[in-house]
Amino acid sequence: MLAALQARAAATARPGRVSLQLLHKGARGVRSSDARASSAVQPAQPSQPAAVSAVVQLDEAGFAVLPKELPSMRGVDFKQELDPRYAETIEVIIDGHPVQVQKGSSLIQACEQVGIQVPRFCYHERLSVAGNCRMCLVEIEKAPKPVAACAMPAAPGMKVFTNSPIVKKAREGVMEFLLANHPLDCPICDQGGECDLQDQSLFFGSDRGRTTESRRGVEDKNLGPLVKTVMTRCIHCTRCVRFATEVAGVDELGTVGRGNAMEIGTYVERMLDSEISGNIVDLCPVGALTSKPYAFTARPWELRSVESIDVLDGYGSNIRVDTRGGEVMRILPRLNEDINEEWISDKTRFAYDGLKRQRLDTPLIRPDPEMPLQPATWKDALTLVAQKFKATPGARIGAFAGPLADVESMLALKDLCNAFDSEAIHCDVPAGPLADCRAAYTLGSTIAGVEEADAVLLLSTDLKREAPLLNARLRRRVYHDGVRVASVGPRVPLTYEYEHLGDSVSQLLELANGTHPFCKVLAGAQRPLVLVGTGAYERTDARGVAWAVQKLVTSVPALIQDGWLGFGTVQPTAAAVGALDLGLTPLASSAAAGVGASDGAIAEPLGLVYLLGYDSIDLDRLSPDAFVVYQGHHGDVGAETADVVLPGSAYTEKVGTYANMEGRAQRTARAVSPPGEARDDWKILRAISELAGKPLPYAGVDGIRERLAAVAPQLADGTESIHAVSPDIAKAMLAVRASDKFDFDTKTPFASCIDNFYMTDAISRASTTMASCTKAFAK
Amino acid sequence: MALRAVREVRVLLCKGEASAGAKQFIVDKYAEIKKAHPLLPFLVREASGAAPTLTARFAHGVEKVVPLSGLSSADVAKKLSELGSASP
Ligand code: SF4
Ligand code: FES
Repeated sequence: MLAALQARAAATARPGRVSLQLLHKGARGVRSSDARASSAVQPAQPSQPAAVSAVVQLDEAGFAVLPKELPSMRGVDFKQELDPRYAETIEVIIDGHPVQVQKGSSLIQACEQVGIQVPRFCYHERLSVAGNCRMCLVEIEKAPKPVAACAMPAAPGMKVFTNSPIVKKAREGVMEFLLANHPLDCPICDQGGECDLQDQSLFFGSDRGRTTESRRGVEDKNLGPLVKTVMTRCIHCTRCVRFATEVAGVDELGTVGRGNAMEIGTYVERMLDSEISGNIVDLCPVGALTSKPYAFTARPWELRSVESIDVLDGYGSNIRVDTRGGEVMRILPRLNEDINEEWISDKTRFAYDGLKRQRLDTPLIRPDPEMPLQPATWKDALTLVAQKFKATPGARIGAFAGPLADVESMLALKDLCNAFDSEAIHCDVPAGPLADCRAAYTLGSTIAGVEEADAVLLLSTDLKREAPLLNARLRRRVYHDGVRVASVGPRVPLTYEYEHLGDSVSQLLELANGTHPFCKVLAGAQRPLVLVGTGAYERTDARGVAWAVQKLVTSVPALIQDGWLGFGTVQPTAAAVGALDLGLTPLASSAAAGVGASDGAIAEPLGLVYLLGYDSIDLDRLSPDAFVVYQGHHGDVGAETADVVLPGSAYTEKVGTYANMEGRAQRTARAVSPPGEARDDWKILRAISELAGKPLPYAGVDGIRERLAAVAPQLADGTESIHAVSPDIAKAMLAVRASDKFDFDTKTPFASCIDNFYMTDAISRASTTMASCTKAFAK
Repeated sequence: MALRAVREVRVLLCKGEASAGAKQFIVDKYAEIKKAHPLLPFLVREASGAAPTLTARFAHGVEKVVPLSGLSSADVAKKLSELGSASP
């Protein structure tokens, strides 16, 4: 009887004990709710020691008696293979096991390398070491006191104990001090259920308090519309401060006062003006910093997570979409070292409320140009569009793909229009150098490769707004290695020092002709990098600028060499690279949007205009008798002008391929179903082709993927790899220039292609959170 | 090279030996082709593991595909001019 009772107690104790080990892993970036989720599938550890008694035992001091052996020690394979890159290892003895760890690592890293997770609050592998929470205390033989594992370098032969009674007692002491001032508001705290403090207090916390003093009160800070603060919960780990200064490059956030009076804040009240400020919400181990828009909306255990890709900019950040009951509740980053590491921009994180507003959920037809749009059936709407396709001569059909279009739908659009003999299929990208060569419109160096550059020239870009995380990488490069950055373009703060060479075409021409002093820097560099913002091509002299850029790129030999392509275009939209890969023609210049004539072709007024999520149509240049079809998910400008509206799906509602600015093809996942009668985008186009009597030669998903593999194999394989352009091809193709005579506009300064970071597409324009950010931050 | 009826040319290259000739062709002849047909989209795309092909698209979306695997630069030039003179 007693044995049976004990066995049951042991069984109930298991899940919790296993989760501690996983939980610390969770603290490294992915939230502990991941760990929670995976603990469900984790089999219970087989070799349990003596069963834990059902009743919690207390020692004389009144502390709960926990088992000697901590869960973090079990199931560790000490003979695991070491990464060959870290060839130089030293031997340390961790918990009695001699193990090889990488030379130069701290004890916390050494323990991690052999699979032991030391509890921590302030340590974060992407931030500098602060060593101020003391949660990671471990015992070292012959050391007089426990030491902080995060701040102690591992030395050869060191004997470390991570689970001795001293360690346990020390951590319990730390926890008791942390909790002495921490409010007991877990039931109303948004961090509840994914809080490191909550989780670790289960293992090191006492079941009763010994303090009689009242808790510390701290005023909440206003950090703007994104980050909610409850500063009494702060445990002063300073992760947020270190992130702001080291990664985001904003120095406003800091600590004031010391001891019991220490506070985190901005001293003079100030909002956190950074495009990546939302990451401090993830970093904060407690509920002091939480997401304002997400406040009180959901609990982590109610959420269903889907791994997906962000499409609101050209960066292709990996995200996790958390949903509940068919609604997107929040968006969190997912680790991808090659792209976003573990950060995402604020637009990626907070624009999701735009997915619920202004949605098109039923087909609409405008019965008469003077009348408003009326709801219709799919059959009527599609038949009407098909009729127009049949009735309009090919030369008068024009199609425009917007910034959020996925590759599959753009392929279907192009095939459909081609079948009706139309060649005017444009994408939302200004015409730069020839779209013939992939090196001309992608980021040749790759995103991670930016950190290898040793001299950087920026042209017409405000990198902090166009690609905040790319800018953060460049900042790291500047700070760690003192790389020289120069810019021809808007004089904007980039969070690091750079040389502003000017903002007019004359400087670009000097650079292209090799007469500018910065040419010497580029020529002397091993891995120079030229980053061009698409704002450079949104000008009347875009062709000349493209010519000058090509001339510059081909004149510095180190820019295109084996293993290094130092010429990159910072594409601001997720559709851009995919569209150009497929051969959709870029707009001759933004002024031409609406005419539909690509450079040199005879502009014939369009009779049928098909807008695939395209909202920047120039209405004045559209002929009044044009029939406009809008396919998309938001009732933005495009839908207002349309004669027929076909509701499509947003990126959280479909499986679509997108290529990011470096040309990496990734796929979104379907997290929720599209609203109302909205459909998958490429299927709508397929249906039109059927009704119009020229069915596209593919019907299912496999079919369109096969077609994609035939047209653009670099996008199709789904391996998420980049297919780099060979240097000899890039060199030969970029050397080709249409002519050498251009008129330059030296008056208009180079500008960024984005004027408001928070509103760049239909989704972020519909978002109220982004609207309040615009109000708070945009000039 | 007359490519009057052709609306778009797509050259797919792999990373291996099979498309060495085609690559050479692009390096040598791309400038010439572009000069003769400045407005013709001539897309060159590389992908490891892809079958090297030459695709020409004609009016009404009709496509003709020629495999380029193992062909020399001169062979590729011949294939392209054959496509150019072909009517869809
Ligand atoms: S607010 Fe959060 S992240 Fe910042 S110091 Fe306090 S506990 Fe740490
Ligand atoms: S993690 Fe080591 S002191 Fe905070």
